[in-house]
Amino acid sequence: MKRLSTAKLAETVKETREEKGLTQEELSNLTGINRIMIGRIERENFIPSITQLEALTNVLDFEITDMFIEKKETNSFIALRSEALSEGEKEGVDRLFEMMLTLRQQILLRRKFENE
Amino acid sequence: MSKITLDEFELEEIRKLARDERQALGFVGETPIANDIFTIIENLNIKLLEYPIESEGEKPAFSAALMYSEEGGEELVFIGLNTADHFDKQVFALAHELYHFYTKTGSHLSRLEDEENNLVEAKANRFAAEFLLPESVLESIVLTEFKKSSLQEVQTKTLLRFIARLQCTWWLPYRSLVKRLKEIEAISDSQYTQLYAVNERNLEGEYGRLGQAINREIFLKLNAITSNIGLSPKDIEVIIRNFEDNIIDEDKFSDTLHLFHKTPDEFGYEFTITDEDMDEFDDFFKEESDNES
Repeated sequence: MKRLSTAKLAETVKETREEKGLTQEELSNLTGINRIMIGRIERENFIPSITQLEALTNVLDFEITDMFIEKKETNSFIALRSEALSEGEKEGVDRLFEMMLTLRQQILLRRKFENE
Repeated sequence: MSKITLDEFELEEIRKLARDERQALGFVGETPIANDIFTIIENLNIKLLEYPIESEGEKPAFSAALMYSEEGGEELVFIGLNTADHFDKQVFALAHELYHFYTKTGSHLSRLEDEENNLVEAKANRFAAEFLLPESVLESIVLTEFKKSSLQEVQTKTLLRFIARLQCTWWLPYRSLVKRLKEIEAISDSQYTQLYAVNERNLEGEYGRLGQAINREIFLKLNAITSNIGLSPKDIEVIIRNFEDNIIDEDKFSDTLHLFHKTPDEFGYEFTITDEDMDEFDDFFKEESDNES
């Protein structure tokens, strides 16, 4: 399946905006998207709606479809849980998942903080 | 279901992978990896999470799980380790998961003894054994010690002592060592059956006493069920710094550490408890003592 690449979108929006000599403020006026949201799109921190995406492609002149990349669906966490676990094991594995998701969240918070 | 037998080509691939990865990590020739597996995991930037999960019924216990998560083009890799297992099996399980890590064979759960019916799992087990103790090294040890490559004339007692010494040096589970000796055809089918039937975990049994006589400290460690809960100090540090930089608040900090069986107090942070919390605490203990009486 294909999915929207926030990385590719961020890069394209920033590059084409600068190519056209627009500030985030000016782009905001032309597209009707809040300036702060534009900043967040460029930092991969916000996924625009289809309407906002269309406004961006119209002003900045790029193809929406180019922003979608092939993504192999893994859903590995869910797959793991279904592997014939007994009740007791399920509880333990859920706890391991909780630990993993919590740690992941902490790592992502850290990364965001360090990149800002 | 019949057990999977790996063919020569598959075996050579695994030997090569284990050799290359051992070398890349700086382990050459007769250098045991043993306890260093934990450092290796950390250096590969794999997050290790430990939790004891008791097994139920006939099925072998869930031993470890490898989990991938991709965020913004960057991969995060986690290994969940079942610490309700004996320590030597934990070491083996980690080496097994490294196979999946190196070959990108995906997220999955492993049960060490159940998986010989699945080709990828059989390969991962073989890799684990080869990574911890390369076949060529084992062959050379046998040859140096006994001046021959076949141990078919060697009596059981001698074999048990030999295996116990190998175990204390290379940190492989007893049964993996017996299997390895069969794989290099050092022991016969009947020797294999006899050795495999030994209750190696009985510390009062013949093998248990031998192991303790050879290296008590290590042997007991390998046979211990650690039941550890937690994660590496490096990853705990991320949580502490997030708190110190005000990314998470006191509550979140306490809750998060609690999940990994740690407290803010251990890291020098003492939080004042509000009166409301104190009341809740009192109620809780009152209820507990009511229940007991």
